[in-house]
Amino acid sequence: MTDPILYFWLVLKASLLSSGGQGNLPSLHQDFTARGWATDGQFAAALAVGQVAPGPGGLWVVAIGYLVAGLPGAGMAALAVILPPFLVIPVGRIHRRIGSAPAVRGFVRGIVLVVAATVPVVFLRILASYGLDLRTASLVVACIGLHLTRRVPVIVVIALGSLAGLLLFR
Amino acid sequence: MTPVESTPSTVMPPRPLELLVVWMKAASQAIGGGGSGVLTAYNTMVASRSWLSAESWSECWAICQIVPGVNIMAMALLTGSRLAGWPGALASLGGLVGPSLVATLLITILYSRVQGSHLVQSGLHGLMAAAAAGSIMFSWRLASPAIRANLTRGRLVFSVGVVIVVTSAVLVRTTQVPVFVMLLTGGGAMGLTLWVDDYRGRKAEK
Repeated sequence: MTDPILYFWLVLKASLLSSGGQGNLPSLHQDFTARGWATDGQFAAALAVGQVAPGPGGLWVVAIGYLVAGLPGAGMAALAVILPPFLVIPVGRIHRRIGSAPAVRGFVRGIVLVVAATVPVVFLRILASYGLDLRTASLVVACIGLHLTRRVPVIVVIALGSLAGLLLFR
Repeated sequence: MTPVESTPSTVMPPRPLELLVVWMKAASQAIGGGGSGVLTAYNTMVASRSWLSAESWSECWAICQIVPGVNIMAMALLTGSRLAGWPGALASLGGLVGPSLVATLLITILYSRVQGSHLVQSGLHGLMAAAAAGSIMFSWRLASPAIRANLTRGRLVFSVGVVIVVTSAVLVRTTQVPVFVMLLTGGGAMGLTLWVDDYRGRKAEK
């Protein structure tokens, strides 16, 4: 990482135009890999840390920040991911006036649709860096099945996935 | 910012320190996503201590869906600000993020020491498969209310939504079009469509 201001701006931009903890993944993945700052493997590790660490899932960005640029990178990433939610305070004040306007609702809905369409594509692309074979695909399908039951906590699915990985990909 | 505007009049509003503890506890429950953390905070702030009414909580949650970034952070800030002003907002965010930040860093440092191990990479391969499944579910749950809402607005709105989804998925897979351009274009297209649809509806009523 050679330019801290550009780095901070890229993380802030990704978080400003995202929704949810992993909504900034497509933008960050595109910007960081295009500049050669991070590899798919580092993204995979950071996302994995975000899954197993307690707290908001969005803190995976801190992990990629550390892997890319050490503690300063982690600190700047933390700041860039924490700042955008502060917009909720002014938005909370004006929500009753403009929140129901069709154009505002539509804009938010459009962003949600783009995030929902792009996040799995980027996730699968990162997963493919490990090799997308029949065993991996079966594991993904099995985990979706567990999620669909709505009875298995996310952390248990993650733990089972890791265990299956140890057995299947030795 | 006016604190305690949402607290029922018979209930003592919380101090910032109490909010810090509540959100710290919520963070400790939020492993693998923020959902269980939000539920923990709800159980304490609404169901157990009645600092907020269920209606106020729902209103805050709805507002958090339209601001960028991590929803649970916005929720901590908004509920904290409504209950105890800026000190409440900052204490809530600090409780949610502070210890989690340290834990995330420690796990990352640990990972960077053992990343060369084949065993670690095998476990990570399986974990990423599980996380990819989670991302598919996350996307479905994120998009399905929007898709349902579009369906109720007729063919034009629904079709624009489908075009946004398909185009975004294809573009992010096959091109280097900046993602923020896709986000702004998708948001703009859907906003314009809903505005036009609403305008046509009002015109037809007249």
